[in-house]
Amino acid sequence: MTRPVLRGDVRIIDTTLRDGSHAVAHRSTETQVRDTVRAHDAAGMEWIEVSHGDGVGGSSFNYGFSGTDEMSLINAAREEARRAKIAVLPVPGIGTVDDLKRAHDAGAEMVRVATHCTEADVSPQHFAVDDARARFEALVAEVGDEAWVGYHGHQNMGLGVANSVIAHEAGVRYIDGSLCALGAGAGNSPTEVLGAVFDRLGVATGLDAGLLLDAAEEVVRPYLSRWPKMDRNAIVQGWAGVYSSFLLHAERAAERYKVPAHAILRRCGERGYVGGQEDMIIAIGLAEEQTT
Amino acid sequence: MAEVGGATRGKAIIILNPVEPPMIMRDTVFCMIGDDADRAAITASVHEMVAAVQEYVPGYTLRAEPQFDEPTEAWDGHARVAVFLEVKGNGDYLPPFAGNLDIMTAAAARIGELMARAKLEASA
Repeated sequence: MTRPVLRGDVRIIDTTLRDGSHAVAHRSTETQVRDTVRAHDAAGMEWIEVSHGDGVGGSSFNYGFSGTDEMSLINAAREEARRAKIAVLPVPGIGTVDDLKRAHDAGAEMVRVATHCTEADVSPQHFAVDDARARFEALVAEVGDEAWVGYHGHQNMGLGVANSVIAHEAGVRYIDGSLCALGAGAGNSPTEVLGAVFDRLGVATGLDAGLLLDAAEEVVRPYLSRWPKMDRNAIVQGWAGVYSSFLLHAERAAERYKVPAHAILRRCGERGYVGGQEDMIIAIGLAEEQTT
Repeated sequence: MAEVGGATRGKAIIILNPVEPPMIMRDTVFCMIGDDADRAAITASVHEMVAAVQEYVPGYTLRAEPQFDEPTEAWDGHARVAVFLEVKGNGDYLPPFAGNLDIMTAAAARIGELMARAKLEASA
């Protein structure tokens, strides 16, 4: 099996409708999905990822229930897309083969399997600039021409887009982004910024940078209840090495147990909690409440 | 959870923590309940069950009182109870953090004992 031929110098994969699900507490509507897909199609986006924020099958008390069944959203995306194709993301331990089969029936044509780096091997989750370049180069060298290496950046420390540029320089060819940075924590590398930056650098993405800006401003921004930002809580996540998806959970626990969210997040970092341990956020809030 | 536990619907999520630093096994059970459910009865029942399990898994404990969350639109107007459990292994052969393995072995041993007892009583 050979790796796919790329249209340009880099392939951008949009995850507004998957990682972005975290930022909207998994309440995306079919209309929002259709509008976003249509705008992406116009801009030339090849692959659009649609799933619950924690991957297919993630709808649960622990992560948050989907407002609309993700399979209907995947189906709606597939129906709406003229050229773009729909991808899904499963996390082993959360989603199962049955979820993948349903997703395929609903119209998904690509699967990106996600796992915690602590499950693949022990390695720090967060890295910046020089570390990033070294890692990209090592992976690219190891993988060779068997596959493409991808990078999925977050903005908790303002480095998502910078690391994406470095990634491309190092041979990485798949770069993830979300419109309006919609994603966990401070959000993802904004797709519309990636479009503009790669355009300025002369790196061909096959996307219309102007139409991506329109998509962000006129389609996604209006439906945002909350624009991801680098506020204290989000920065603490990057700083303390905390899984980005914990943000909204920490804020809810903060409100319930009257403990600052950033304190809860720092505790998560100290204890090395991984995705899936959102229940421990409640436990921390409880414990703090009991000591005060 | 559905077949044995009696829930209408259940979902299990697997967490793989790093072993360094070791973490004593934690399990959280979230259960959807009616907004008019008898919370005192639920709490009492949870405590009763924990005591029953402790007979053969001494390291099985509640880390906090069952937490009740008020109904929300996101839960179709249902409320929720959260039960925070810790399972500390006996440490006979495996480290105490392997509570998940310990509890399975303890449960199997318990079944064995109950079956043996039933056999002896039947033949008596």
